[in-house]
Amino acid sequence: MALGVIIILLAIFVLLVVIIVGWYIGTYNAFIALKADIPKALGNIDVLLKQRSDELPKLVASVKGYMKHEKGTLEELTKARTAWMKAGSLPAKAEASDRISAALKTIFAVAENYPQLRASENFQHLQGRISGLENEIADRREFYNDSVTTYNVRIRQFPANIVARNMGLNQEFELFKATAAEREDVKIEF
Amino acid sequence: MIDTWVVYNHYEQRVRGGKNILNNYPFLFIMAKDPLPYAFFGLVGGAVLIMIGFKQWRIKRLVENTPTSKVRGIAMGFVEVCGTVSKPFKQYLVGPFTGKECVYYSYKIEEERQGSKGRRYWATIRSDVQSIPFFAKDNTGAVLVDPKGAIKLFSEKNNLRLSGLFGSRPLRFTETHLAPNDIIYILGTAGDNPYVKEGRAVNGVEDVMIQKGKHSPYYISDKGEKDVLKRFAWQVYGFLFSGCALLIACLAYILYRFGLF
Repeated sequence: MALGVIIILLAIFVLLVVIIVGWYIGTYNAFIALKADIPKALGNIDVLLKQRSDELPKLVASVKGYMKHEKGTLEELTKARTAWMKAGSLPAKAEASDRISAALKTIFAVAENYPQLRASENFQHLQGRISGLENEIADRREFYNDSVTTYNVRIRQFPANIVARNMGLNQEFELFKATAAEREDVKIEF
Repeated sequence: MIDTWVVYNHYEQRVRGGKNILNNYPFLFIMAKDPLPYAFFGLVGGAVLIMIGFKQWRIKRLVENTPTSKVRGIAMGFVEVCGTVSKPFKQYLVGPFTGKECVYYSYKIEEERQGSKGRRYWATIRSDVQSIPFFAKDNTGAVLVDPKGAIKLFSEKNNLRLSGLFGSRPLRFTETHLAPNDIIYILGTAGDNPYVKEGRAVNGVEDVMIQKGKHSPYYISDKGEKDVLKRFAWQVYGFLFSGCALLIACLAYILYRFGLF
């Protein structure tokens, strides 16, 4: 075989190796970024949960004068807030957060029975602010789930799963799921 | 092989009184009759194309792996947003040829000219790009976007192209714009909105502006995410394939010239 042909074949081989190594490095770095995105997305939910938690004492203060018969609901909200602040693990935080959401839903539904409360500017402002935060939390949870799904799919996809296996990325992350209480219809009595 | 090179330095000789320009600009006025030097340039060109292919591959991965944020839930940092163009932050721009209200336009005026070998080509005689901060919206809200510094990937659909004889000169006018309700895809960095004072925002997204990050890419397109991905995929395949092909072809020619075939 002519020397030229050997050099050409060698060049093709080197190019293939360069492309494969380039792909491997790119995939490796992409996995690092994907994995880092998940705690970041979770942290971004936490920021909003903290903001919501900061608004709760103001809400309780503004409604307790009107809702004397709903003492139990307000107490549940306060307890849930304390539980969220003390929670160390992610499931405990999620559970406390869901309890806060459920208590808030009840307070806002029951508030309909108190025309004076509904007319209060402070309550309207707090309700708007907290509802806004709830919506933002829902969007960020969706974003978190998207990040987790992308990661979970990528570590299973061929040929990227070879890189994932070499990096020891076998564990899938868990998605946020709606709790049984969240899936239930809200009952409002007139 | 230096005897096959011709140095065109007549201009330089006339202006500088015969000084050899090779000392200052060795590559500017050098042309080769022999294609061999071009083959060496081709090798470098092929390697550059492969590097561009890898760069585009990295961006394609970034588009694939970045989940789309809802406008209402945008967090500070690198974000991807899909939606439509809403209103501008202040006043609309007006497209120079279409007269359409828009938030971004670019235009160029080209003149048809004849080259030295009789080949006709379009030469740009005037061009400009203007953009202003605008709001992008989806079904959850609107966020301010500063398009300064973004790489704009615009399709032909937002182009206006007129050509014909204007006076005695064959001219061509092209305008590309981004108007309200156009689809928009943004891959950029959500940072502080400099137009809103800290703590004055009524809802979370008001104090956020999507802009160019310090070390992250910034892309704006008038296509959806799938089309943007398709475009990057074609670029990756195109650059990598053409780079490899050019490199191999040039190498084969060099080897042939050195009698190794």
